[in-house]
Amino acid sequence: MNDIAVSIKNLNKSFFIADNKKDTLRSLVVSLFNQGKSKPFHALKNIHLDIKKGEFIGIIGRNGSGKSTLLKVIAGIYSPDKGGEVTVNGRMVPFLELGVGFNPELSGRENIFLNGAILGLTTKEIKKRYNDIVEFSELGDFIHTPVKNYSSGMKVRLAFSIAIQTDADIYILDEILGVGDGAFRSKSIGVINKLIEQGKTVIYVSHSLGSVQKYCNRVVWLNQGEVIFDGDTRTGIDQYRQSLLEIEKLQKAEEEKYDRVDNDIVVSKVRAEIIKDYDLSIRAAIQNKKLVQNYNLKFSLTRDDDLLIYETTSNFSNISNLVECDSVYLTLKNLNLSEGDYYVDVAVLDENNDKVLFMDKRSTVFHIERSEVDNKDRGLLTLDKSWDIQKYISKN
Amino acid sequence: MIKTRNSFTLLKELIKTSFKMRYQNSVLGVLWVLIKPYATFIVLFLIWSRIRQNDDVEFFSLYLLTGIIFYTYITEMVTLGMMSLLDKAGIILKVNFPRQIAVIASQFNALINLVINMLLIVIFILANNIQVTLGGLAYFIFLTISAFIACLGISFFFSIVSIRFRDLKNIVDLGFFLLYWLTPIFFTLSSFPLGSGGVMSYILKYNPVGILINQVRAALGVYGTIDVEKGIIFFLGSLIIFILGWSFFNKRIKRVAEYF
Repeated sequence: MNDIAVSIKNLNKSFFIADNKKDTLRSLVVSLFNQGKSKPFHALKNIHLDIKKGEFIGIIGRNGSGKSTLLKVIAGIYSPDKGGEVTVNGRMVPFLELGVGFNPELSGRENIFLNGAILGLTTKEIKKRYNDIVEFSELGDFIHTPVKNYSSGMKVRLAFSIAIQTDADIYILDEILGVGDGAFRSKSIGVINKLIEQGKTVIYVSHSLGSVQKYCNRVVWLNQGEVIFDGDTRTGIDQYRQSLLEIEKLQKAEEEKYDRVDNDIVVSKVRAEIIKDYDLSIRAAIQNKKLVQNYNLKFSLTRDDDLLIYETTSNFSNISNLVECDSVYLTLKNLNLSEGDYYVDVAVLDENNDKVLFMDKRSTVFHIERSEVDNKDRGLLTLDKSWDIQKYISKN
Repeated sequence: MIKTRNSFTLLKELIKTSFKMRYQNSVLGVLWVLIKPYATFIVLFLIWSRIRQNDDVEFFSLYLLTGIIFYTYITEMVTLGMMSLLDKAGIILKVNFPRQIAVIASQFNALINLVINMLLIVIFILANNIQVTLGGLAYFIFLTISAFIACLGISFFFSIVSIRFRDLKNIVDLGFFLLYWLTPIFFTLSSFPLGSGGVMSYILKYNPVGILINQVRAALGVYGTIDVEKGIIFFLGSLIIFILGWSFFNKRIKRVAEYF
């Protein structure tokens, strides 16, 4: 029991959204005569979560899925509905936003004391950490000028520097990793990594699946206020990506009034998986309803900005043993792409490759991850490299 | 406990910040704390020192000044306290700090203004050669603290109510505007024929702000006599208001973030 940092039991949270706000006398009087009952909106439904000490837990989900509400309940800003229970062991610092209560008219120094106090520090503690904060923020003499004269980057740097000095056991981060420029970002990520090494608990909400995948060792996926996945980061994110894609496709289908039933041949259940870092395995199911004799398959890889990376068409001749269902596998070797999200488009062509029998864009998505070292390199590809420097020896 | 110590730090920082912010970028700065009541004082003094007759006020300038300054003190406490949570909405929605601190800090800001204004009163007392007794001084402090407790209680109540009911600010402003004319600030109760009875005389007689101001005057030896019984009733009343306000606040504060 002692290794639990945050324990959430039977958590429900509903808000009452009144049709007309009764915050002025007039609307109050009007509402007395016109009693419309406000409908409850269930932002969180029956959530059970035990977050262990030392866990770096990522919370993902679409907009409006309840992520922020969950964080606010954990942070103690909202209280749970009756029957729910949230227990927090240890000192918690919420960073739902960086620089809460920053006063633009005050200097950076004064804001350190103000923000530090808001985040739960005492004057003594702030004084002790003051130099570290200033040093980490790289603000130098700017610390004595009013914050209103800071660039947004400087403001973020100062806020982050105070935040990490709060010495809490549990950190709640809402989209605040990777702030600032490249150099500051890697510095702040270094600090977060140190926090994890020290066994601090981090609850992290982000839309950037890449960073969730990189840092979190557990992921919770919220959908319409319910936990629909809780466990391994990789599996969770893959499932989440897939569902995003399906939603996108549904929307597209609706827009185009695209009806698949008419197709003689349909490719479905397309899945792509990276194996051994550089190989890609694609599999798909083919439903050959009309038992089309000869057909070819076309797979295309695109980056998330629609850049075509590779396209290949099969050259099947005389597919024997015609059945209604087939499985197809395609393996691509040495796919040395850079880190990012990639999509697979699929199409079925007739035997002469000139008539499209079926087409589906963005059938599946896969994510390529590269190590930190390779990450500093940029471009479409991640290439094997070796540097060599030779001394030029002057003839004189 | 760490938590209480942080509460002190937070209280200090909030008081400091709003004090700095109040007169930020103004040429006269903190002097404005003095200018406003003093300007009111001058205008009222010029008019009323000519009109008034048959009253028993020996030191009219001090009578007027104490009235204005204490009335301002009460108004500031209640108005600043009422807006204290709404003003901090940005922080309340993001960090779970003890919300009471925001309300208490606003009260101290009004208290600081009172202390600055007391300097004027001290100068006038010295100029008029009034002897303030030690007991009078103690009674004065007792009254100031009682008023602080009462206004804190009212602020706890109003700060919550004003979030959902935004008209409150206008109602309170109007209330204080009307109360100004029903409080012996520039006139004396004795200059009215109170014996006739009626609602007006009743209000004038039992207006707590009026009672407070008159007892403060008595404590400082400016006007009237000290009536400790009145002071104690005022203190007990303040205590009851405080307890009611405090318990209302604690009952409602948990859900307050949802209503911004």
